Amino acid sequence: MPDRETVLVAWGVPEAARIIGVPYRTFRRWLMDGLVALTFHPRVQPQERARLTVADLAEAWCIADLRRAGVSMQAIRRILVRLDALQEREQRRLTDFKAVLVDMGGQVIGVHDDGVHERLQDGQVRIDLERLRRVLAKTPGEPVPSCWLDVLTLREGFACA
Amino acid sequence: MPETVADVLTVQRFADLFARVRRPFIVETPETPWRTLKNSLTDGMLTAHLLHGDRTFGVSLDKRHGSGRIALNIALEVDFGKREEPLAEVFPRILGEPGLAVVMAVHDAGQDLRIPETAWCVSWTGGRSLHFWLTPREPVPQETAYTVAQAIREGVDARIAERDLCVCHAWPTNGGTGKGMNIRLPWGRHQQTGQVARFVNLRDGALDLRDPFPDDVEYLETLERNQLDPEVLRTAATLARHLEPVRPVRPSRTRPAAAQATVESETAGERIERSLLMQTRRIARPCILNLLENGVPEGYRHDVALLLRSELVHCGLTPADAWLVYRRYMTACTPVWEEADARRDLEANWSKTDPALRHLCPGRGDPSPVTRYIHTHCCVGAETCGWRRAAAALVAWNDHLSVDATALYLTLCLMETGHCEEWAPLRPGDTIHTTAADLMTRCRLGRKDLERARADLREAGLVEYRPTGRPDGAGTSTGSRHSLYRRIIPVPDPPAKPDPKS
Repeated sequence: MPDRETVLVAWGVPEAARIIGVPYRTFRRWLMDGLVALTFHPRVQPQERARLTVADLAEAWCIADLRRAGVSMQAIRRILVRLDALQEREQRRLTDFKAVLVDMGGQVIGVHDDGVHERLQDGQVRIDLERLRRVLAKTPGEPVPSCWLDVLTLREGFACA
Repeated sequence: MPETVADVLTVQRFADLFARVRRPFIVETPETPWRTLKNSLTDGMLTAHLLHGDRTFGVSLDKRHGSGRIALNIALEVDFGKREEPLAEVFPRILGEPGLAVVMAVHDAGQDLRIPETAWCVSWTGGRSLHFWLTPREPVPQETAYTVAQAIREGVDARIAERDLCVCHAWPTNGGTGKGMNIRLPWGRHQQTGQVARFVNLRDGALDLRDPFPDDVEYLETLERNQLDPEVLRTAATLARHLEPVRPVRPSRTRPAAAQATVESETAGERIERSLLMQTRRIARPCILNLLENGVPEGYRHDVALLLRSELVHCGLTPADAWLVYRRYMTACTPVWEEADARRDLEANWSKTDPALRHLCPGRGDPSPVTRYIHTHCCVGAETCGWRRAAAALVAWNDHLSVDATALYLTLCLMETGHCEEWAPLRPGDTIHTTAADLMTRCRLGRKDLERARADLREAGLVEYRPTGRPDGAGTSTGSRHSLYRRIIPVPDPPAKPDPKS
């Protein structure tokens, strides 16, 4: 769960699609399919105006970068499902790990600690989140309604064990 | 007994159910107590365990998988006597009334998490213990299994505490990344007592032992058929997680000191919510739940029972569900209310109980002594009460509502409890008189968003909304149209499978 500071501002779906460089309709489909687990919207409802936090954007950015690097959608879904099992919780995020390594056999390793560089091999995709931060600095988001933070608090109560 | 092909197949079927992790394992012989061996448990050893009885084996129920761990079974152990007690004294308790109570407690605790009774397999160890096994069809993450095991353990402990019994171990014993304890396999010989372990049947309200191996081989078929769908365990883990943090943690910026001062009573209510999951989620009123934990002194017993009963009728509980809650109240009272008397009170008055008589938080005027007693001893504070009412309803609806609708529902719950209000607190489902402008200010939502959220809640059957005949805004600071909002109680269940593409 992102800290409270990062959820104070959020971006609408058209704006987010523009930021990560994906067509709006494609991006909307990703959200409806639950490919990106959104902070405020566990499941995007029809007609709902979804908002994305910085963490959501980072996740979408990773997926978009993987797509641009030629990774198939099927492979991405497989990775996310395996990450799901690794993290043993329902909300999966690529960005929860320091690095995610996927070998030729499809084996997924989530790396929490440092020492990522020692484990990297040729041909792996590196995703630059720093570039996203630079883009976001130029496109500030809008503050979310304060009641949304209350909803988030309520949901934290459901999820934390 | 000669080892035939059928025996080999039986051993494999047995291993597929109970000995899915072969390394390391534990072994006990008549001469040596349990010791751990690092090599792999072979089919030959399992055959010796089942047929010869000269060695008894135990296995781990979890193992490493990738960078995490998975659990292959869930198990509980309940001891019915001390180690030094002779078996002849302990055994009647195992198959007698205490044993039956434990089996029922395990079934009930499982049902709280929607685990069917048929999924449980009960095994007498040959000594002073019963083992309860749940076998998922496929392995589940260890943390999931651990969460379920601990929730069931707590549920069982709460139910059998008055008999001086408890769950001694719950497998997997480790919820993190570590390895857990081993457990003795069923059907082996208990080396201390010399008795052969057997499975236990619950038949006609009594426990009886099944035949020993190999006469009971066909029971493996039943066990294979009753293996649990991993999805059921995942649901159970989700339910178990939802139970624990009943009171959401709010940032201190808006938390009043009065609410912080009630931590002790909240903890008591949460314990009840863990042991009576489905019923308490429907009641969703912390003061009533605290009442079940704390009970009342003799002079208040019947008057408070009337308030409790009317709350249960209002929440749409069936008499059978209501009895579980009533029984809890009965045992919490000082002195304990006699069961026959309590049952008579419930059964005789259930059909004529008026839900309008529910406990009303004291507001204006002079409250009755019973109301004052409940308010003094069981109230958790307006804000906390509002949050817990919302949490109980929304935990099931989390994936089905837009964030605006969730926020509006939470606001209505907080308004119900009169948090920051001049009016007296309302009961769940009482009518809230307000205006759209007031709600927009409270939720910080625009008009269109509010209307959409309101329509969502109405469509979901969670809230009723009715504009009044006073469109002029008279009497309101904002000058807008008056409306009546009412949360629908009992809270309906969400649709089974929402289609994200619909």
